[in-house]
Amino acid sequence: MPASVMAGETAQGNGRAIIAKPLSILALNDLQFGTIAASRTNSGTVTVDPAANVVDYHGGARSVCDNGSACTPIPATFAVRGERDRRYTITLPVQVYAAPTMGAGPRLIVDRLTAISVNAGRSTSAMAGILDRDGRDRLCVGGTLHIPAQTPPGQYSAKVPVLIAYS
Amino acid sequence: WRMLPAMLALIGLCAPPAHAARPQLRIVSEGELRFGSFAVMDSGYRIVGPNGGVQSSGIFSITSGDTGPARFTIQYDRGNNGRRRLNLRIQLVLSATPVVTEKGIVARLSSYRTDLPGAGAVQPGRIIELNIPNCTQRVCSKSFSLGARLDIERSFGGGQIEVPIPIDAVLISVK
Repeated sequence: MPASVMAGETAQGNGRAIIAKPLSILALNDLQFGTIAASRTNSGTVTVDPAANVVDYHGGARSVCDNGSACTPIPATFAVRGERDRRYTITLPVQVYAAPTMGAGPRLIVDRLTAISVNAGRSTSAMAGILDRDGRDRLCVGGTLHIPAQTPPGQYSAKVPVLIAYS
Repeated sequence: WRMLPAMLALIGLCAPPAHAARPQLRIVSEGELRFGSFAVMDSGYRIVGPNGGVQSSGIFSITSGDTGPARFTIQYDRGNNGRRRLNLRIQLVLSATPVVTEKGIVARLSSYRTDLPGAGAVQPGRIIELNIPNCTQRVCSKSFSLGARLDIERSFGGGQIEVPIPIDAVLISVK
């Protein structure tokens, strides 16, 4: 027997999203290899270790700066901002070329670029950082500069792209 | 002795009648409409379809696998354990959702879509016909998924956004 019944019901579903602060990075200072004396006969390298803030000279490369002076090598540093307690990945190129900005010389290879997150430290896997409870971190970037024998005097500069993304 | 059978007959006549429970229509929210976690610079949107498909513009995912359509179940409890075959006609209406503000974020939900036959894109306030035919169970039910588009405008900060999705159901006929 058919029946028509009018009965109504109301309910409420829910839509949900979590909006994170965008990740941003600001360069604070450049990666500096300092002032270097190049050998006429031997090639050399200068390596800036971002974790230990140690500089290694190999082969025909020698520092001409006193420790603590303005021309000593230092790692690049970056300020990272974003959502608190979030992890992020760091991507650096395999190598870049430092071109002479003053003087005439060859392009110099800069490779073995590495980054260390101050918050994550050495205990994490490479190239990963973590933002603190305020959504902040600091990145230090180092690498190795290759100096062929008889490299002429001059100033050399390279752009190093640093890519970070939430992971 | 002659009075006893009469008293027993009278008690039988006065026994309370059996009552079945009243038929009841219910809407059950089985799952949220999940847009996941993402970063937005200034503005962007994400669409989650009723089939779970995702489209985004202007946003950057920071997680994966945490999106999905809302899920609703419409239930009609006939109130008894009878097996009479029922054909139900129900009308649904999804209401427009309010604009939600959370600190520096403004969120708007729009462009409802369901996986109900004949009711893909749904405008707020538009009637959706839902039929449950040939039901012989006590509780007749039908489930459906709901997707939508979430627009985000961000001026500063981040946060968790929750947007209510009001839904009304009316039982039109039971045959």
